[in-house]
Amino acid sequence: MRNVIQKIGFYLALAGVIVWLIGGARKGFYVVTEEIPQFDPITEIEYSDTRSKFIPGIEFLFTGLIFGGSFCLISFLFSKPLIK
Amino acid sequence: MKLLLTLTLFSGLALQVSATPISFDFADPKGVNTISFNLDGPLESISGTAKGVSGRVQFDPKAPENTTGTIDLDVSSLHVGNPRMKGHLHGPQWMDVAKHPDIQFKVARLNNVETTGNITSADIVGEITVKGVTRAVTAKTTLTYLKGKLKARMGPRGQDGDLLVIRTKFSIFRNDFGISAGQSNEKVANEIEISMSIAGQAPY
Repeated sequence: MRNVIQKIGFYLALAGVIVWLIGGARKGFYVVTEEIPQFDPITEIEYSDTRSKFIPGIEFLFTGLIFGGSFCLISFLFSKPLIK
Repeated sequence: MKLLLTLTLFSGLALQVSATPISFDFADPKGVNTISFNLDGPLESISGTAKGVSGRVQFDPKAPENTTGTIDLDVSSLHVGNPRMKGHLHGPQWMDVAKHPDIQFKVARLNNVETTGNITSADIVGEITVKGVTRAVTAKTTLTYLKGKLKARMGPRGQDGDLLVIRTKFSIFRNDFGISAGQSNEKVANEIEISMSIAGQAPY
């Protein structure tokens, strides 16, 4: 049982890290829009257009690590597996 | 004949001296006009944009120092990517969009004007009103006068006319404007860096 809970904890932490990294390792909170750089050739103004895109923030990393850590701690409440 | 020539010359000169400034409309149908802001806080840097720009600026290419006008910003167009943060930004504790729907920047004059070709560099002197509080602002700015370029920008169906591009960067402090003054300083910076690149049009 302990091993199973520890594995769940590990995969939860790993999932948090992977989701955060794939999303671009954003240091701020999650966002639901992305700014696309644009250029107006006549005025030479650089501006941005907003488009919908979900980008996970640092809370995904922390949530994954906290849940993973919690599962690992909880696992110690269960007895060690018997060595055959 | 001599008298006629002299009269023509004088009337031409008088016309030049009393040339009226061109009025540029900054409500941009192309959606290019953007004001961006950045608060470099200790916890997180908050960046956003605003596209609700309107207003008019009177600019005389022969006397740019006399530039005057008003740029308005629709506060409800302030955008940050995080929806929860955007809700707070528009809410009563921060920008209070319901009570203060506009930010106004009044241009009084230009100081230290230097013009090279169609580009004028100057210190823009004016007042900014945020949440009903007005403060004086001076900022380095460049104005690019694009004579006859409106049609090229708007396409074949567009009108003939001129364009004026204003670029400026300056900072204000939220404590000066009662934007959650003295609160959440550990999360949200007091200094708000504002960057503005906007184009106005003057159809003939």
